Amino acid sequence: MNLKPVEDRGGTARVSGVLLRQFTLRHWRGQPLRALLLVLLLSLGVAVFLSIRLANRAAVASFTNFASVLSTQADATIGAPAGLLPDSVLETLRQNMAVKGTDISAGMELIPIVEVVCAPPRSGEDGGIGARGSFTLIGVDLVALQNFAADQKMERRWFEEASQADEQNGGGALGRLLGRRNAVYCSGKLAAKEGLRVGSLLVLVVNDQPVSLEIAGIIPGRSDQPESPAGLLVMDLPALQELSGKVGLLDRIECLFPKGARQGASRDALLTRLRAAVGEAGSVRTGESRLAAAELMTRGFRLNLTILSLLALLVGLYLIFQALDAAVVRRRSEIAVLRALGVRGSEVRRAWLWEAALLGVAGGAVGVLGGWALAQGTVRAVSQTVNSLYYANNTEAAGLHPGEAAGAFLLAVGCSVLAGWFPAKRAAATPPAQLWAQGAGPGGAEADSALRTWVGCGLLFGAVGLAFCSPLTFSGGSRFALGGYLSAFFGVIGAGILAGDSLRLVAWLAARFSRHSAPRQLAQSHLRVPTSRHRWAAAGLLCAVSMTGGMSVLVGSFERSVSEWIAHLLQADVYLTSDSNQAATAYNRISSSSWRKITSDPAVSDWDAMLLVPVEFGGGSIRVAGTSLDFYQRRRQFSWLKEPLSAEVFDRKQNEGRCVVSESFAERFRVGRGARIRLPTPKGERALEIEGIYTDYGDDQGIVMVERGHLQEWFGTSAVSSLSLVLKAGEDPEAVRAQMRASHPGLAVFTNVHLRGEVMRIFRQTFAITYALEAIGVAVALAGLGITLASILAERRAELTTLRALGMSRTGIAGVAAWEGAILALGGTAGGLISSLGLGALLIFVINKQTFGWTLQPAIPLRALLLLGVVVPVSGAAVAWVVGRYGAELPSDVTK
Amino acid sequence: MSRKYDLSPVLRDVSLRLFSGERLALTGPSGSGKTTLLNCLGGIDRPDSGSVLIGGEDLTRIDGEELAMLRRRKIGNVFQFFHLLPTLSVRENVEFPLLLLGVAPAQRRERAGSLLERVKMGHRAEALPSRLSGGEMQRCAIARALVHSPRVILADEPTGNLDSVNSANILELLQELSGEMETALVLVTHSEEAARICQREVRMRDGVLEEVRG
Repeated sequence: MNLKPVEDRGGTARVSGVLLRQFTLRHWRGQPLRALLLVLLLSLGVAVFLSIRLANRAAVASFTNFASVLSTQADATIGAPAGLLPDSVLETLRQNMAVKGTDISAGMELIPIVEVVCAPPRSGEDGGIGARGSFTLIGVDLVALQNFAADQKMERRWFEEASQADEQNGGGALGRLLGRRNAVYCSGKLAAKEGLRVGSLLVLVVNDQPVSLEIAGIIPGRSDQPESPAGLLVMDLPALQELSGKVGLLDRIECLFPKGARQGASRDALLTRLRAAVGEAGSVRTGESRLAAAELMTRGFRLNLTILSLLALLVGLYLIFQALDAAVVRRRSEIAVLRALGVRGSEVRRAWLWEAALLGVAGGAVGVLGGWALAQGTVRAVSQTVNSLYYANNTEAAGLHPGEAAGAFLLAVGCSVLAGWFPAKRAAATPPAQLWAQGAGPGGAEADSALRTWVGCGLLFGAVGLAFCSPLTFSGGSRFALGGYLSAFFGVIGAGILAGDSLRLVAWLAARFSRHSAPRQLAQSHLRVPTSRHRWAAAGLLCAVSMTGGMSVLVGSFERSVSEWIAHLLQADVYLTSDSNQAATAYNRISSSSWRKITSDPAVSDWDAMLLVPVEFGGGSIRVAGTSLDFYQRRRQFSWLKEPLSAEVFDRKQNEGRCVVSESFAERFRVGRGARIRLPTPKGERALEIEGIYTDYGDDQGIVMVERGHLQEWFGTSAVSSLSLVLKAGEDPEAVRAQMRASHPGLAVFTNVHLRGEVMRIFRQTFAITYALEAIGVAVALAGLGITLASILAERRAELTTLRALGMSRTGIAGVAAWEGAILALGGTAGGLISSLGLGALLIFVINKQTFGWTLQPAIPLRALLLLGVVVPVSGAAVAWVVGRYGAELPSDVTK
Repeated sequence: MSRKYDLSPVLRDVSLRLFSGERLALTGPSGSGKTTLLNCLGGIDRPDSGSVLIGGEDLTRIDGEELAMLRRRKIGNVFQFFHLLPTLSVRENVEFPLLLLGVAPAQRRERAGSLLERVKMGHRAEALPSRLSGGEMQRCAIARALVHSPRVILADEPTGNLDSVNSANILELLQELSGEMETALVLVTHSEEAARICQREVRMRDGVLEEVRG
C-alpha cells in the first residue's frame, strides 16, 4: 500500500469549524434535552430582561405620543415653567415669528394645547386608586389644524375621514365637534373596548364634577404614526378650556417647523428665535428633550427594574459557565485525543467559544421572542406603577423594538461567550492523551482553589470600596448609583466564587448526621472535596438567594419606613380629592365653593387643604405643595429629618419667604437647611429659604412645601387638590364618608383606615413585579442545580454500577442524589442568606439613597428570609431526587 | 537526551536513531522511562537536555502550537485503549487527521476507504466506536494513525488490551502497513511476541537505553 504524503492546508478557523460540526453539534444531538434546557434557561433570562426593557420603553413612549396622533411629532413645545400659559403668549408668538419673505419660519405652525388627565366615575364600591385607569383629554384648535392640514397629506386625511364620519352620522364637517361643549373624538381602541359609537355618551370626572361627553367620532389610524392610545380623547380647545376651568390658559403650545427647517442649522436658528420670542413667559423644549424629561423622571425606577431583570440572566450565566465547564470534564478524554492527533490548543479554545456563542445565539433568538410575549404582561405592571408614581398612561401593549431586540440578542451572545471563556481556556489546556492517561487531566478539583479564593476575596474587598463611591449626576439632578450597582455585582460574584467553601462546612456538618445512612454518607462524601460543578451550582443558588434576600431586606425596610411615615402623615379622619386623580400627573382640583362647603360641615372640627402644582426647577420637574404648615405641625404630620430651628415657618404671617422640602428634593438638588432657592411662579420667581427637611416616600422627584395661601396667590387660584378633615368627637368617619360621597359624586372620599390600606396596597403593587423577577431567578438557579446533578450522575456511571451491584435500590440511589442536592442547596442558600444582609444594606444605604434620596429604617424580614432558607433547600432536594431517579436508570458503565 | 522529574533522572543520556520503514521495539519494566521517552519522541514532553529531530525538524526548539502542527503532519499514534472519538463513525475517525490537514473531501474519502479496506474494516465504516469490538477498534485506530502518511508511528502497548488472537492480527497489520508505507514504528511493549515483529529491540532500564538486538 502506498499513500502519498498529504499537504497541510489547515487553518485554525477551519479546524475549529470542523470541531464544532463534528463534535459540539453531535454532542448536542446526543443529549438534546440537556441542550434544550440550557437554551431555554438562557432564553428565560434574556426574555425577562427584554420584556422589562420593552415595557419600560412603552411606558415612556406613552408620555409623548398623545399629541403626535393629531399632528406630526412636534419639533418644539412651549410650556410655562410654573402653572399655565396665558392665551396671549400665542398671539405674541405669532406676531414675533411673523413670516417675512424667505424667512425660515415661513410655514411654521403653532398648535395650542390644553390637556386634562381624568378618570371615569366610580361605580358602586370602587376598586383602589388607579384601578379605573386614566383618560387624557387633549384640547386642540381644530380650525387652525384644519387649515394647516391643507399642506399635510396625513392630517388632511384625518379631517376628511372625520368629516365623512360626521356626514354619515348626519352632521356637518366636523360640526359635531367644533363649538360643541362636550363633544369628543375617541381612539379606535377605546371605542372597541367600551363599545362606543358616534353619539354614545362617556361620563368622566373633570376636577370635582362628573361630565357627560358625547362621542363625535373615532380618531382615524395613521400608518406612519403609532396607534392612538386607548385613553386619548380629543376636544375642541375652547370647549375643554371651559370644561376644565382653564379659560384663557394653555398647557402648552406645540410648534411644527417647516419641512426645510426640521434639522440642522435652520432648526437651531428657529429654536433660538422661538426662545427669544417667548422670553420669560415660557420655556421651549424640543421633541427630544420632552422625551428625555419623561426618561429622566422614571430613570431610577426603570433602571432598578432593568437591573433586577438581569438576575435571571446572571444566574443563567452561571449555568452556561457550569454546563460548559462540565462539558470540558465530560469530554476531556476526547479533547486529549484531539490534542494527540495534532489539534492545537487555540483551535480547541476557539471551538469551545463557538459552542458558547451558539448557545447564546439560540438562547438569544428564543429569548427575544419570549421577551416580546412576556412584555405584553409586564407592560401592565410597569404602566400601573408609572401611572401611580410619575405620569398618566394606559399602556397595554409593548412593541418589539428592533434596537432593544438586537441589544438583548447581543447581550445573550456576549454573556454566553464570556461565561464560556474560562471553560474554553481549561479545554485548551487539556494535555494530549498520552499525558492525560497518566493523570495529568485539566485542573483537579483543588488545582486552582488558592487563585479562586484570592479572586473571591478580591471581589468582595472591591465591592466594599465601590459602595463608598459617589453617584453619577445627570442634568436635572437625577443620579445613578453606579458604584453601588458595581459593588452589588462584585459582591454577588465574589461571594459566589467563595460559595464552594461553604459546601465543605455543610458537608462536614451533614457528616455528623449521616453515620448510619448509606445514601447520606455517600452524598456528603461527594462534597467533602467539591468539584468545580458543585461549586458553580452553589454559586448560582447563592447569587439568586442573595439577590432575592437582599430585595426582601430592602422591601421590608421600605415597608417599615412607609408604615411609620403614613402613621405620622395620616392623622386626620377623612380625606378628599378629585375622583379623577388616578395618576400622578392628574392635577384635578376641588373648586373653592366645594371645599369651603365641605370644611364648613358641622361634623368637621379641624381641616387642612392642600394645593399641589408641578413646576420646573433645576432643569427637571418637581412639585410644590401649598398647605397649612401650622395644621401639619399641630397634627404632627411631618416626619422630620431636619426640623426647623424656629417656629416662624409655621406662622402664616411670617412664612412667605420660607419653605420646607422633602428629602428627595434635598438629595436631588444637593441643598440643605438654610439654603435659598428661587422658585418659578406665574407671578415671577419667589426666593425661599429652606427651613426644614422631611421624609416623603410618596414622591422621588422632590416636593417644596409652602403656606397654601401664598401658593394660591402666586398661581392665581382658590381651588385646592385635596382636603384633610378632622371630625368632631363622636362623629363616625364612615358615615361622614358616605354622606360626602353622596353629596359630591366627583370626589373620592377616604377614611383614615381606607387611605392607609390604599397606600400600602399601592406600595405592594409597586413591588409585585420585583417578586416575580426574583422567583424566576430562583427557579433558574434550581433548574441549574438539576442540570448539574444530572451531568455529575452521568459521569458517575461506574459508581452507579457498583452501587447497583452492592444492592442499592433505585430509591436509595435517588436518595444519594437528593441528599447531595440538599447539601448543595443548603450551602448556596446559607451563603446567599448571609450575603443578602450585606446586599440589603447596600440597597438601603447606598443604591436607594443615591437613586431616590430616601432614608429607610432598616428591617430584617425574618419570615421571608426563613421561608427562602427552607423553600430553596427543600426544592433543591426535590429536584435532585427526580434527577437521582433518572440517574438510577442510566445504563451501566462499560469501559471500552 | 536527558529528563528529570523532581530531580530524579528518568532518561539518562538516551540516544536513538530511527530510519524510514524501521520498526523499533521499546521494552523494559514499568517505571523504567519508556513512556517518557515515547512522549519526548512525540513532542508531548520536552527533554531537559538534548534534542529530538523528526525529518530534520527539532521538536525541542518549537512552541506548543507548532508542536501540535508537527504531530498533525508527521506523527501517528496508536494507544492501548484505542481512543477513538466516540461521536464519529469509523470512517470519520479515519478521515479526521486528513480533515485537520485540509485535504479535499474526495481525497479524504478515497484514502480512508482504501485504508479501511486494508485493515478489513470497510464493512464497518459507518459504525460508531461504541458498536465495535476491541480488535475492530484497534484496527480502526491503526488506520487513523497511518492515513496521513506520518514519518513515525508511536504505538504505546497497542495490544495490551486485546486477546491473543486479536493481538496477533494487530501486530501483523502494524508490521505490514509500516513496511508498505515506509513509516518508522516505535512500539512500546511488554510482550515478546510484539517485540518480535520489529527489526530492532531496545530495552530501557533505570532511564538508560540498551540495545537488545538489531
